[in-house]
Amino acid sequence: MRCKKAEQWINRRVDDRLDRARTAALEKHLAACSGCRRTAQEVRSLVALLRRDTDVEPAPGFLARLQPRLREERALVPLLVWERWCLRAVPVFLSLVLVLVGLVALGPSETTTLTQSETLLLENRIPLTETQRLFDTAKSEDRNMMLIFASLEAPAARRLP
Amino acid sequence: MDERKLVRLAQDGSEEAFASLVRAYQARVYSMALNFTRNREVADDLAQEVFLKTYLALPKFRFHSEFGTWLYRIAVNHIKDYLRRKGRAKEVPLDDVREIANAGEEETLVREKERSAEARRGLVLKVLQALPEKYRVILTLRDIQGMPYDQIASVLKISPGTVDSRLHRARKMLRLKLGPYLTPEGGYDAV
Repeated sequence: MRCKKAEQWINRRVDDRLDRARTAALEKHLAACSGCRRTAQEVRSLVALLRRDTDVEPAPGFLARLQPRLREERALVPLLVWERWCLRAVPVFLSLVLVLVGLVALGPSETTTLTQSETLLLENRIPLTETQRLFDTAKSEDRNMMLIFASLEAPAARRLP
Repeated sequence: MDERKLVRLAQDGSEEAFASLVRAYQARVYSMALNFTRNREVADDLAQEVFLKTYLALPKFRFHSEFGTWLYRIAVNHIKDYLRRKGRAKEVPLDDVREIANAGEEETLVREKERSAEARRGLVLKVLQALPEKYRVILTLRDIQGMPYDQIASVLKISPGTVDSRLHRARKMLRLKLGPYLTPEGGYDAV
């Protein structure tokens, strides 16, 4: 084993990340190499010096000091919770819109075209009475003119397919 | 209560739920800040700011990682920003290291033997602070905080392989600076 590889394995061994076979190979190398033995001692010593097994607690009242700051932030950002609800509402709103669009697009289409008689009825005019009024006109010129105008209006009121 | 549930309640605006999360993580976050800065007041301020940042970012947390990992990421980034602003990443010349070491030696001769380890630790931490940022961060998370490899990878957004190689390089850099002061009292014959 080369010393460069041994150094890598020493680091892994310190962190318990070296399997048994490699640990055995490393031990064998260390037994024969004083330089790597020294490296192993240094790494162990370094890690042991640095390691803190327990966390240090902050000064008492950490949370009590934090809470007013949190309230201050909350006052500055009043929409914090609201924003979250809005974000949640966006997909719901979009899916509702999609459903409505789908219903409109796929639903049965009904054309409500009225017949000429229906139109006249809707306008509270009786077709026969209208026609009778034309023929009752005394002057023939007037009657002819009214018939001409009625014929011109007729195509507009024709029943659509 | 389950942490996930607490996070959801905090996201919905529950002060008590967020307070529970703070209580659960305050020592860890404070220790991390303290290990980076070695100043209790600064560490306290930084820890408070980390929780404020976390609170504000909480609506964006989508449970893609553990809450703790996400919080540590915020903490590491915040502390790194602070250190950059303060310009702490200066190299400590080797002469300075020797001076500190001598001061430590004198102290150990005069005082109790227990003080020796703490003095040596102080020296190691001082030299650690002079390392380039990425090595300082990984040594702090792994060797001081004892954070598992996969969590470090997740916090720093790097691969476990990079954690391995970076940690190896960082320890080597520290050893090269401190080697003479580590071996005699290392006390570890076997690996």
